[in-house]
Amino acid sequence: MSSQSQPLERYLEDLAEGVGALGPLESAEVVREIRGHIEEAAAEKGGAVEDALGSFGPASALAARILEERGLLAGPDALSAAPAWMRAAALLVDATVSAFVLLLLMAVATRPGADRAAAWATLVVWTAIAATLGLLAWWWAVYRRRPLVGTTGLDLLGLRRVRAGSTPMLVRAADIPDLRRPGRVRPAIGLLVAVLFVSAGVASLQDVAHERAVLAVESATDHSSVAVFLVSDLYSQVLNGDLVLPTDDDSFITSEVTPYVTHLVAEHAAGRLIAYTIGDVRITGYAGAEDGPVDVMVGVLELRDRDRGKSVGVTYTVRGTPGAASDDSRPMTYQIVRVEQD
Amino acid sequence: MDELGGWLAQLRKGTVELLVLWLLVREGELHGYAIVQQLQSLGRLVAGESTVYPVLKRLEADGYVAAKWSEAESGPPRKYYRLTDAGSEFLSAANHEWDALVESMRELKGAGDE
Repeated sequence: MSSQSQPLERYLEDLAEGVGALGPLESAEVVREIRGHIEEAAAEKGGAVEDALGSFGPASALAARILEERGLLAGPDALSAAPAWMRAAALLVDATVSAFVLLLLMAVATRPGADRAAAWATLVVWTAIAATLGLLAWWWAVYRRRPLVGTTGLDLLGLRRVRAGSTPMLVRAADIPDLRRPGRVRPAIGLLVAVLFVSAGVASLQDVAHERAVLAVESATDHSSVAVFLVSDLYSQVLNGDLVLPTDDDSFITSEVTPYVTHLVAEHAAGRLIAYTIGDVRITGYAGAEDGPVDVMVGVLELRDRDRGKSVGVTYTVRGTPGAASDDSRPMTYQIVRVEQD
Repeated sequence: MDELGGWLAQLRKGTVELLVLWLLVREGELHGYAIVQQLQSLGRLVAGESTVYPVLKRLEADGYVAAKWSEAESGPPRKYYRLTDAGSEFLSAANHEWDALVESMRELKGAGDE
């Protein structure tokens, strides 16, 4: 852009903004016609664009006169601000989209198994980038004296930012002459994008939830092997006749279970218990440490004694409790907390 | 003098529409720049760019003038205006009113001069 055409371009940009309420087609035609007039006048007067511009007066005043003559500033066809509920709804849509994006970022940053420090650093960096871009857009709009682009909320509600002369207004697109019969394509595309965006977000959150569940099951499965070992070890000791019943709280057998184990020892002494198999292992529940104070793994073991050819089903519930540490390497303590016989 | 200037501005504003339509009757077809030039050549009732173009936009929107773009032999493309049938009808009625107004004014002014 040459220094000669810079004032002209700036003037025409201001004019285009000022007559934006005419709609894109008519305002573009106004600008084209005024450009032609100024260029012709400047050519006649030896290229003095400033003189030609001066005869038009300020762009905002010219725009206001055009809108006034077209009946858009007063009279039955005058532009009026969009209803308050539409403006509020547009704001609500934009706030929801922004909050959803933030929640999405936070969900990604806090997903299980993620490196927390790196995830939060990523979140901070992206937030900083978004904030910087937002500030640059705002600065550009102020510097260029152009309004900020339309938002999702404005598009969905069919609203447009225009200037009535020099007065900014938020109006219904249907009130703008060119757009009185607005196409349904753009709002439909906007709606589709919004639906896809929200669906993707929901799916992403579901993925995070699913991943949490998978990790919980994996963790429970890992812990269940410990539970199997406990029960196996208990029966080995019973069968070998070297079981020493617990006398302190550190044992893997709780006091509620002790009478049953005593019974098992007696059965073995009477020669009625000769072997065992572990028939089934089921995970009935698991709660991770980050979900609250009840960090307990429950494993159900179904064990069958063979009593001279007769099987007896016994279910052991083993509870794993984390130690004081909160990370994944925390020590677990295991206890057989319940024994049930079929 | 300022009061006279303000009154003249109002007078121009009220008459520029008729002036444009009369010009188009006389010339047939004119582009905006030429309309401004010719009105400015009238002297006292000079109507500048900031007045003429808004009026042209309204006349076009009302259907009293039609416009078409045409490439110039040199320079930028021009938008030429011509009177439409609706514009002619309007002008005919406006002329009638104008003549009546001028006649009334002349009578009143004559009485005042006496």
